[in-house]
Amino acid sequence: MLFLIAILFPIIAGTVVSVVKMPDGHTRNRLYAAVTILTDVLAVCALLYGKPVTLFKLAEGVTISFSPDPIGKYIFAVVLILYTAVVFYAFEYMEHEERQNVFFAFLLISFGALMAVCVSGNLVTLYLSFESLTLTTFPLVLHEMDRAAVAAGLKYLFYSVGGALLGLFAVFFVYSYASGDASFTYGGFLDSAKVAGHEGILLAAVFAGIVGFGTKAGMYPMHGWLPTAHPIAPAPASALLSAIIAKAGVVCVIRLVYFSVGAEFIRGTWVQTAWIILALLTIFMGSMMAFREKMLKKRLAYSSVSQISYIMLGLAMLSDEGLRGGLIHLMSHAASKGTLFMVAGIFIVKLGIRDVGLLKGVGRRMPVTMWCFMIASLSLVGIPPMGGFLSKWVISQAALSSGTGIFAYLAPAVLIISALLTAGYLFPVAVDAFFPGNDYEGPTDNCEPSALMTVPMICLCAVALIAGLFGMQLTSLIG
Amino acid sequence: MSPLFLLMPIILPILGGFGIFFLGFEEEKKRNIYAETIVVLTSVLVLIALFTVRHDPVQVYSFTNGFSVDFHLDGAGMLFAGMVAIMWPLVMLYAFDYVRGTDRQNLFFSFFVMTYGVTLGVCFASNLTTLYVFYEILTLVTLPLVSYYEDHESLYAGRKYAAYTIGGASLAFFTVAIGTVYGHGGDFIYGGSLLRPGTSTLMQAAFIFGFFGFGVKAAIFPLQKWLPTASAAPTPVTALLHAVAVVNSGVFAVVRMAWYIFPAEQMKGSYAQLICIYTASFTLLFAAAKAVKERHFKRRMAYSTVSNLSYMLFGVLLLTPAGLQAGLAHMLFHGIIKAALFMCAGAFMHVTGKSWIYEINGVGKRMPYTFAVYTLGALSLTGIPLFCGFVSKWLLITAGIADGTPSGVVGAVALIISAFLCAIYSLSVSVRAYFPYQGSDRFPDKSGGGSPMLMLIPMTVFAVANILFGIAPGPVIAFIGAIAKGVI
Repeated sequence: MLFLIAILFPIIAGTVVSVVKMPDGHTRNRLYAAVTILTDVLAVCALLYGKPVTLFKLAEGVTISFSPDPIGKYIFAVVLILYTAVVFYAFEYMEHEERQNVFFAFLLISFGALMAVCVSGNLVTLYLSFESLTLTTFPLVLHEMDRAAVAAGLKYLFYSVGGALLGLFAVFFVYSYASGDASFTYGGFLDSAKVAGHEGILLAAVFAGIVGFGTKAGMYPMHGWLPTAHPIAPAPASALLSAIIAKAGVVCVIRLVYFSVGAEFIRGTWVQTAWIILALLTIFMGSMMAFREKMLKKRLAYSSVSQISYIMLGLAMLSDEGLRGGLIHLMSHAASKGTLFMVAGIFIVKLGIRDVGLLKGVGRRMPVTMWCFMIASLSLVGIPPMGGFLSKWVISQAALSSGTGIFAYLAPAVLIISALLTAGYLFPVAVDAFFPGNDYEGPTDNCEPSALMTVPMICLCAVALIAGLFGMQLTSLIG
Repeated sequence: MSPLFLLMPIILPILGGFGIFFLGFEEEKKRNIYAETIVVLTSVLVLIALFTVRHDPVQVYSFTNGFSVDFHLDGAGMLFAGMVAIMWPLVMLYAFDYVRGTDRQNLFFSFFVMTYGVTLGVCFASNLTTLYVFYEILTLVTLPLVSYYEDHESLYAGRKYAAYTIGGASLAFFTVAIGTVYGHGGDFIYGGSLLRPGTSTLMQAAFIFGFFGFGVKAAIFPLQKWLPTASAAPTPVTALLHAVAVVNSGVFAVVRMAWYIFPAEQMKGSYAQLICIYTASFTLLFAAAKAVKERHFKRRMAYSTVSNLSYMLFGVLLLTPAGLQAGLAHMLFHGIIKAALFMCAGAFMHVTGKSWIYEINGVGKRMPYTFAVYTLGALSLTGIPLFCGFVSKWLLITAGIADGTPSGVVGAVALIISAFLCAIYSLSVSVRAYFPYQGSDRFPDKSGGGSPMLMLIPMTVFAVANILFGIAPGPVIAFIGAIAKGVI
């Protein structure tokens, strides 16, 4: 019940605050802040004392229910941190924007939806939460409401809904062959007697599910929306979309593969091979695209395409190790990519700069911001002791011991190449910013943003560090 | 109570409808009260009948030996009649505001009320002949409604409608004759009433004829074209007749034929079944694609109806009880959803005088409530859980998969793709309404107001039903399951 309250509170409170008449925008924003903090309190209570809850019965064996397990709680906690950081960051960012009200309302509503994704107790509930998440985040994408933004919003909407329906296809098959009430169990709940003779079609369905839910995670071939939609949203929304909302796809894949059909079922089949190939392709392609992209936010979006597929690669190894590596990367990427997008947003509102080429000397004008950029980049590239290092280490280990033939060696190789590319598209930005050279004649005035923007970034950097230092302990409950 | 009681709700609206015409009401208000009274009374009679009437058939008139007009009340009839009885009075309310200010309103309401009785005739028919008679009359009484505006477009729509449906009925007449001659006088008996094996060539031909013949009203490909054209009719007609009563009569007739005349179990896997089920799977995809392409609001909804009718036919033609259950459930739920969607489309057209999708930009600000109802319907139609559309879609696809045959799986895949297309064609309207891009011509302000109250009430009722059936479908699904297993 506590989880239900934590999920519904931001949804209802967000709607109410946006609808009720207020004397001015500041009062409303304060209320939004209060709602966020209260949600955090409720969510933490839920994490500590929450019990599974079943709401509705839609058909025979089909229920809407929420049941938190360690993995769900882990991701739930990451969601909490990210959303809280971004909401506070957004107050200053959105100061001069129109229609702040709608923006914050949907921000909070999607907060609830994403929490629901984390603690869904079965595939149908997950599908419901996943669709709600899409529907409540797409207003964030088209916030600017010009032609390009609306087009990007629709692209996002249709890609996601299409992906979700592919996922639903898998859900139908899994339910058809399920034993018991089809609630998530580590190792799967398939009834082997019912499955016998239908393995082929079930594998195809699971693959459809992986590709479908992988849409949200920007996995090739359904990645097209991500580089369009993420950069066009206002920076706080891009930070959320890239850092944590895209991870909803990862959650769905974990739930489908590890908790419904069971990793055992697809280990060694063509599905695993195809999945690894897709993940590797995405990692490489995303890094390459990011490398050649000149617009910072777009570069970061391509980087997300690549980085989220690291998680997919870990998952595709179909071992506890792989899952663990994926989960560590989920946290570290969420924290570092959140930071990077926040920094990109600060460049836009404070300096009006969108292109990486124009960032010379910025390190002197906003040292704190630039340091955050640097630390987050370190994590993304994978330098110890940041989270990115640990996760890649664990994923590579999982690959090497996965027994997938050539892919066991190819995967670490691609990870290293991608790491080089990542360094190539992030470090020069930082270097230029800090060391513009002797002939630098640009402005040197301090334009550091207020604490409302810097503190969330610093916190997220700390999270990336924590992921690196304590990632193994945090994920030790799994399996 | 004796099944003769079933005649009352059939005759009352037919006579009442004539009454409007002959009494020639001068005053609008009086006429409206009269019409609504008749309709509500009929609904009350139907509800009484549903709970009290015995389930055995009664003969009313015999043409010749074997061909007779019989009525009975069985599960499938109860479902359809109950659905129609709830919806008719509500759509009637909507119609009062909608046709206000047009000529010949008496004629409109006269036929609108009569159609109610005829539809109930289809529900309560207990053999092929009776079904056929009411099926034909249904075409005739709705014809003036389709051509109501009497402009070029409506007249063309009316002609097309008549040609298609009467043509279809004549195809089906072959099946009626075969079913009557080679069966128990064409009586509807769960599990089939044919005395010959259903798989002989003649019977299979009869099955196909019947499917495409009755399927015209259910807008099966390649005979679907009349339905989008017929959306030229006033919206209450489209909302009730072309989303519920008339088109569902087509589906209902196919149900009667496939399950109550032909031995469903035996027909499974026959050529007849395969041809029909693949046609349904194709139609549901094809029409969804057409709906995405269509730019006229009501025609888009009409194509969506074509697609959804084939969902039902797909379920019915799986020829498994689970499939029939799913098909009938979708008949009910789609009726609820689509009536609401059409009402929203109609309210938009009525209030703003516009009818194209691109003209919807920004209307959400002016008619927030109407488009909220629309969005709920669209989500339900796409198949988001907590709305009733998800429930029936779930049943349909799981029935397809459980069936295990290639036709079932192909249909399930087609359903998923069509759901995606549905998301595109229905949600893009909501997006336009609420998130117009800057620089497009938006409505400057809220001038002119939103939908009138009499339109909002029925919409709201349907929206609430949409959610109620979405979160607690248990009892209804159990009832429909009993029908599908032949228990009721």
